[in-house]
Amino acid sequence: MKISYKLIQQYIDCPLSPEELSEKLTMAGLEVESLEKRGPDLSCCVIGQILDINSHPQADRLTVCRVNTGAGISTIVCGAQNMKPGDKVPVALPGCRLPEGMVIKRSKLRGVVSEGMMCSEKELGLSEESSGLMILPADAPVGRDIVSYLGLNDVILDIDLTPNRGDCLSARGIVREIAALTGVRPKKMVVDFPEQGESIENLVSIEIRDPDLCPRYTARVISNLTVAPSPRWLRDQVESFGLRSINNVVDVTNLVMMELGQPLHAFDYDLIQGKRIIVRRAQDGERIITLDNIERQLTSRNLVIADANRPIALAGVMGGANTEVSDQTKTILLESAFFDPVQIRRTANEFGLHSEASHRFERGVDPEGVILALNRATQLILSVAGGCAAKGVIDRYPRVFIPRVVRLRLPMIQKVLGIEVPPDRVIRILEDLECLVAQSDEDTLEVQVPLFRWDIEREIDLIEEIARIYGYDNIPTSLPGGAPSPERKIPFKDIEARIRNILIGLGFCEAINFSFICGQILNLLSSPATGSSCLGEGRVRLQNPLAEDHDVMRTSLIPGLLENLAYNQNRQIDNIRLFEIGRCFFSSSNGSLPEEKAMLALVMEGTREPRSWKGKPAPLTFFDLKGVVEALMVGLKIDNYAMTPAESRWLGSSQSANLMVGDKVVGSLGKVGQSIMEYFDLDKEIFALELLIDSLVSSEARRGIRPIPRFPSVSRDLALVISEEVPYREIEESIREMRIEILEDIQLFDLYRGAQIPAGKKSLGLSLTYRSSTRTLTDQEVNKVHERVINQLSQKFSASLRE
Amino acid sequence: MIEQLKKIQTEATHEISAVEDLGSLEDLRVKYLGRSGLLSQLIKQIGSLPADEKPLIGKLTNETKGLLEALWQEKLAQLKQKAAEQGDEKIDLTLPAYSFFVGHKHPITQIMEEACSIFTRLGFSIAEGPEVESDYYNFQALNFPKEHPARDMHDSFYISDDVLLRTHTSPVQVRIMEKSRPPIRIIAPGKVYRRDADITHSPMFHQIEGLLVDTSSSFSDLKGILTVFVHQMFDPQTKLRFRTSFFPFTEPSAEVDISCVMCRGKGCRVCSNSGWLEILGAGMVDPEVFKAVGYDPEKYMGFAFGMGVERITMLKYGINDIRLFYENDLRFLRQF
Ligand SMILES: [Zn+2]
Repeated sequence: MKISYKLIQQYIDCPLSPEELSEKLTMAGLEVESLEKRGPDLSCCVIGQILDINSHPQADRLTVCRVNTGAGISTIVCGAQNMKPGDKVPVALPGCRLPEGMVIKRSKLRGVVSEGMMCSEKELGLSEESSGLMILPADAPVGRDIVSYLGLNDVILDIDLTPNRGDCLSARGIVREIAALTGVRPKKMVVDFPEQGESIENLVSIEIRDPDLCPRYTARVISNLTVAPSPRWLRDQVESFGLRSINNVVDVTNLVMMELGQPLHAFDYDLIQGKRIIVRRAQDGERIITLDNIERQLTSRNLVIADANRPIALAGVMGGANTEVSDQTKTILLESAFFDPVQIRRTANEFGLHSEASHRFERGVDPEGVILALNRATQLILSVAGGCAAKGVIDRYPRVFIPRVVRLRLPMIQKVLGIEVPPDRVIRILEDLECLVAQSDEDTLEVQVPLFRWDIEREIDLIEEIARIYGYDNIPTSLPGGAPSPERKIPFKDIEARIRNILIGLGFCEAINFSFICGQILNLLSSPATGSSCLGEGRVRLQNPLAEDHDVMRTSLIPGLLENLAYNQNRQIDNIRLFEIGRCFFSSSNGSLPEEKAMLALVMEGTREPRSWKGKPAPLTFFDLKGVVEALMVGLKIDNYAMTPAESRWLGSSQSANLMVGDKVVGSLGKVGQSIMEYFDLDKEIFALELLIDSLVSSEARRGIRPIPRFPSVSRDLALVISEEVPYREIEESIREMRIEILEDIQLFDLYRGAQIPAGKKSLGLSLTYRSSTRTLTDQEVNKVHERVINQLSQKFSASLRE
Repeated sequence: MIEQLKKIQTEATHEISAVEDLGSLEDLRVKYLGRSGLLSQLIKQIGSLPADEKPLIGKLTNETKGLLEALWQEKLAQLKQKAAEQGDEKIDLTLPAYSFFVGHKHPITQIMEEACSIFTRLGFSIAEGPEVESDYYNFQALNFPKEHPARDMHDSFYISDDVLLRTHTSPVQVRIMEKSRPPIRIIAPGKVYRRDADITHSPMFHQIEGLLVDTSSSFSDLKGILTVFVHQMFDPQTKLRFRTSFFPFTEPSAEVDISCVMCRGKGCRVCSNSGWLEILGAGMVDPEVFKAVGYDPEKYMGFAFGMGVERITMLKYGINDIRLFYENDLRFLRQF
């Protein structure tokens, strides 16, 4: 809501400067977003003193004056007669643009050079008519600019109102607030005009068919008026509220709406068929062309103003073109009504028609203010458009509103706010807000709330009013006591923090991507060619995405990370390691809400370590990815995990594995396949991991500390030549199956193919560590066991020992 | 034998004092003092000496051994000292490092963790709720009736007529209160969604919600808690300003401003010359919300607050474009 500071001064003697006022309003909940200077652009118009007046050599009706403008003496040719030497007048110097658009230049008038122009009130835009120059008081300071001298500057306050304060959508509402905040009483508005001729009851009949949707409807008829452009003052005022001037009649209805908060509508009376106004629900299929020239198809959900035959307005939202006020209009019917807020909101939303009127009706207007607004508008129309007002007002008020009475227990104020506000202060605040207050006992007030305050219904609403007028700043600061609340720990929040710490230690940066992605990408990820994630499928789709490629809630974090990877690669960044922790969304068959799963994903590309002068770093392989998973599991103290070759491909690559914890698949890892690389326009080898965080939560090993070994270990190496077909895991498992008590660890330290090794075979170098927790092992003992291992392997895999 | 002893002593003394490195010194120790060194060989011969010579030779041998050992110890210490002073190897210390890859937490995470830790110290625990919410939890239970203009403040993404992406973290309040009884002190960090995208609005962003419910807790306690938070999150000189606002689920409601972190309140571009920056919304829990979760509004009082994490992060680091958070440009992420 925009409002002019000068206009405010017309309604109340506000003792605050625009800056102080906006601070005060802001603190009280009427947030002033900006203060915008506004005023006539009269930058080169100053106060001048006429030194002498001489007749013009060429023209009898002109004079040539010498004028002191402060900066020097100017010669000015003048056509006015009402001045004398010594008078002080406004002087527009060359360069000045007057409100009517004229730009003052140094020019010759009938042979005499004129260096400016002395102005009348009309020329300065200060009045509609004036005769002769504007003579300023004798003490006006020569040379001062006229705008500041006359106080023509104005400031527009742009107030961002919260939805509960519909009562402040008008100058009157804001003035009420200022009154409550400053203790200054608003000026009284006097509405007085003559009524003439016929009684309105003879001119029109009005009927409300749906009083639930229209509790009150009032009207006046004004005949014989002239629709014309608005006079300047009206235009200025309408524009100061940020509205566009249309014509004198419409401008008055708009001005009164901005003044009093009551939307009004003027119909061309002669176009109302049957001279009847019926407020009713529309019939299904009925049509109306609204003032914006769009035809609207109506249903019984909509409330219309109709005449004898057809709808002539969408009630409270927009008028109809069929009864629009035009240049030809001679007689108008002026409507001032109260419509049901919810009904207006529904209709406005349904048609996407949000007008200043619907905005106010939606928030509730003052049902007791409709007549005042009607009369105020009538008075103004008579003064700017002429005509005469028919006798009387039609006031249909089938559903009368009774002001609410709310009980306020004074001790509650301290309980809620933490400070005691003296009762007389409480009463004063409420009365300043135009409540009627009665004290029923020492601790209790009965507060009658004015009808325009739809937001005050309960005791707590009154306490808020007291708090905001008393000032939040005056409420002290304390810390809550009371019993500690029981700790509610979320285990996976904890795990997420640990995962982050481990991964940043491994050189990964954390990414955050939008939760909605392009459905097409998810199709690609789960197509038969690329395989599928083990983590879930069903999609959750947005009804109203902001962009087409943000239409589905993600079921995987991988697409976001690959997009980030491409983004960074395109900016010449290499060795990209990114991870993200976030939720994925899967439609669920039971329950109305989708299933949300906390997931971790990471991607990595480039080399094992940063490039340096030490030598060329090795490129990343699948086994580096395995190393990351291992570090993660160790850091999370998860013992029972395994990475097993996946039966189906993940991300379209054969290098893909499942991450198992216990016997549950909790994630996938692998190389990113070609089709996906192409989709994201990537060309370097990328390795990725995705897992379900929830399934890690309960997997942490709950074990006590293992004792530190007290006896030395013994290591024995062996080199096996074995068929390529045998996966490493089988070898390790077959050793472990022997359940050798003193076998502590198996390590693969060499893998070799090529010269000296037959085709189809590979050579593995294994180092076995033996240790007993009760004694130092002897060589003999170890040799015996080691021998058994070798035998087992050579028998089971027909492996041969290599020297 | 005495001759031999003397010869050993002379030669050893000479050689030990001449030696310049630890390796050669060790060789000398083995040569003279080792298990099968020259002295040991000599000692072995003592047994075969005539009985009357034994004591004297034994004594002399021990003396020599003691002497040489002392000499060796001294030299060892000397050489170790020297080695320590010189370093083992001369290198060009100005060569660049063999670097490691260093990871970084996202700035949003860092600020969330910081905020959570401040509130945890104040006795709050962390809570969560779904990001896809029902209309009931996101709006109705929070006193946003259907068809109410208050809903205009939240432009929502819908999954169905009744299911939407939560527009704030406030539904967590309701879920927690439904599940437990006061006293309650929780904060709920998480993602929220609104249909809005420009340089200061992102369709997805993060909020931290706070809720405290007890038999007595007042607006002044709310002011206190938030003052502690702001002073720890920014700095203790930061001023706070509570001004009246409106949220359907709190009454009285406040918008909380802090003195501008850029200009210290003098007025600048960031604070649109007001000297103040809006950072969070707060208020006393509206009785309607208590009714919705089955709490007696006559018995319990509480307050709630919510803040935008992006906003705080942008202010702390002087970031002026919210989109930087979601581009995940490593040149951005590596600065945190
Ligand atoms: Zn500033």
